[in-house]
Amino acid sequence: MLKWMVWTLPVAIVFIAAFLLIVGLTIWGHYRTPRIRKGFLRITTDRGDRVYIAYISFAAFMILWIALADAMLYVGTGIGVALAAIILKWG
Amino acid sequence: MKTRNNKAWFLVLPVILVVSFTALIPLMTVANYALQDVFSPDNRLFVGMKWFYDITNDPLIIDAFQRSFQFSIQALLIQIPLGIAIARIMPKSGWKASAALVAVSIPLIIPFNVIGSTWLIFSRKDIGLGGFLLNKLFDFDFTSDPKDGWGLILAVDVWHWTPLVVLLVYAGLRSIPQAYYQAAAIDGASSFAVFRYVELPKLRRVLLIALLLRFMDSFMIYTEPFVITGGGPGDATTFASILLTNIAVGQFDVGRAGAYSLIFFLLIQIMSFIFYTVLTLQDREEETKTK
Amino acid sequence: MSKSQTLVKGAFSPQKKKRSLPWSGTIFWLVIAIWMVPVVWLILMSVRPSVDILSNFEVIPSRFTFDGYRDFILKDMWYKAYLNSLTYSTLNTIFSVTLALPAAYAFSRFSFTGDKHLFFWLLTNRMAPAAVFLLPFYNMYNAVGLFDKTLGVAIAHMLFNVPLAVWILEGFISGIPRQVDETAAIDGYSLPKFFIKIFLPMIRSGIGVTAFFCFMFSWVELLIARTITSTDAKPISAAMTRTVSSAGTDWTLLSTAGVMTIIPGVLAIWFVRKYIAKGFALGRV
Repeated sequence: MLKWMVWTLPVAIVFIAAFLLIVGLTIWGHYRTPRIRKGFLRITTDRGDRVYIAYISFAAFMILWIALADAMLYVGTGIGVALAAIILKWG
Repeated sequence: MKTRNNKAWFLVLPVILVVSFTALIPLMTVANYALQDVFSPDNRLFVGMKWFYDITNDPLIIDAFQRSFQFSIQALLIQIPLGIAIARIMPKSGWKASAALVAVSIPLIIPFNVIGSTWLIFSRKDIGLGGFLLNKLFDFDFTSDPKDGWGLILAVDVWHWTPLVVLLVYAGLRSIPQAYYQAAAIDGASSFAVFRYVELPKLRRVLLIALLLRFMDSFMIYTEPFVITGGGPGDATTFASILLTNIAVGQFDVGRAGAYSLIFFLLIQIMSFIFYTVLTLQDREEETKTK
Repeated sequence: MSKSQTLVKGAFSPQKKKRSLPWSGTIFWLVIAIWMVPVVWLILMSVRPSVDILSNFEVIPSRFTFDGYRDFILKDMWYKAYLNSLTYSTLNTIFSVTLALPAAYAFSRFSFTGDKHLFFWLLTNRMAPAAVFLLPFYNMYNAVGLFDKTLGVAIAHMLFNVPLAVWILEGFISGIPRQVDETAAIDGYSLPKFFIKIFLPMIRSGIGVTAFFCFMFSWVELLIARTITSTDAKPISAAMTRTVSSAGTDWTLLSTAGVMTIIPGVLAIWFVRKYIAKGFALGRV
């Protein structure tokens, strides 16, 4: 049934992690309504918004890194994670 | 204010399940494709980020994205001013207004491929009215001259979608109270001043919607160039969707198509986010104003 | 008060007319006339013999034929494809609107954990390019046995039509004051009963418009419908593009098919003309 989806471990991990993240955020949001604030992005965001922006920024940065830098994927990942963290904290 | 009620989740649940089936499962599959060399479900090889390096360094693909981007910008530059101009002279009341609304909407409800095949014949220099006239005037031939091919697809997009801008702007104009115009008339404002200081501020919201919707749809244009030019002459009108479709269901090059799709999807996510932020930003501003 | 109002009206109505150019009405209809030329061209092609279309350039046809319309009705391939398209568009419309109604109501009336993010997620699916989903769709519909079935196309098109329906309906529902819901609740209506007996009739124009847009977008879509069908459920748009690419195209028949595909939309558009901007703007105007 699921064979046609040609599963690989990394994709499975990414999607399970994303799923758990969303469930976690939902439960957290249920007990503590997220505070809406304005960070250096100049738009009002709540917790979920920032997670989404960080996620998308990370992905976009990785694509750019792959396009422009030929190797050193780990360095790129490191910078990407740092970027995402900055958005999460101060975005 | 809306009532807070988490039971509303149950009302939304069916939609989530259906959209997950039609959107999320394919997306997961695409992600799987992007990391492998798939010969068949039983015979496949994990290749890591290979396809991503491949795609982002492939001039064909980069060109296609740039083309789509340029095309969208040019389409907007023509459609938005033209749409505003037409909406301003549209009849505002009586049966004429109804007739005008219907007439303007017609291009929007024609199937994309019918628009394609109509324009294909219409623009042929030997047997089509438009192509015949243009050929006499400017030596127009969209089958051999890349510039003409590009121009034709742009013209088709303008013909197809300017009505959308007209409808939105028209709806925006109708919501401006007559008192505003009267006040402007007292000041003896010129037609341009009325547009600039009365209409434009009120149109901001509909124009933003028109801008973003039009940009997105022009960026993903597929059917018209597929039918009319087939991506040519050369690859002058090979836009991002056309190239992706060729790679995916033309060549069945699963891995490359997967990586390509993910990058395409990411771009759309970013643009959708901008769209949504702009829309809700307006809502919030209006809310604070009324308070 | 009424005196001052008439005063204002009398004083400014001539000014108001000055606002628009005297010829604007004429220019508008001229623009419309130019805009309609390709449509007229299509209609003319559908009544000209195929030989004439391909050999002579003429603005006014010299010979007329209704072979295209006869063939369209009599030839299996064409009317079947047409019926296929009608079937899946209708099915899709029913599914999409039925699913979207409760969800749109929830988004409009309640706030719940993650509501804004869900609403946004729906939008991203409306915006997603069909090309991205082709390969997995092809494999998925094969795997679940919905390949080359009209039901399969109807479900596949829910990808963009369910989000569309939710967004448009939410726009319409938000236009109905919340007091209606509250009054009904005080009168002892349960939510489902209130929804069916009172609320649905109130938003029937919104439902009509949403149905129109779901049908339209399913009807005009080519890429997905073509990819997940082959012969049995082949849509009219695919039948048309396949003839274009093959040699010896019967342009009369093709134009006839084109005219026939415009007809459902033109028939419906009159009824939704007031809301058409709202529909295209996803309910945000």
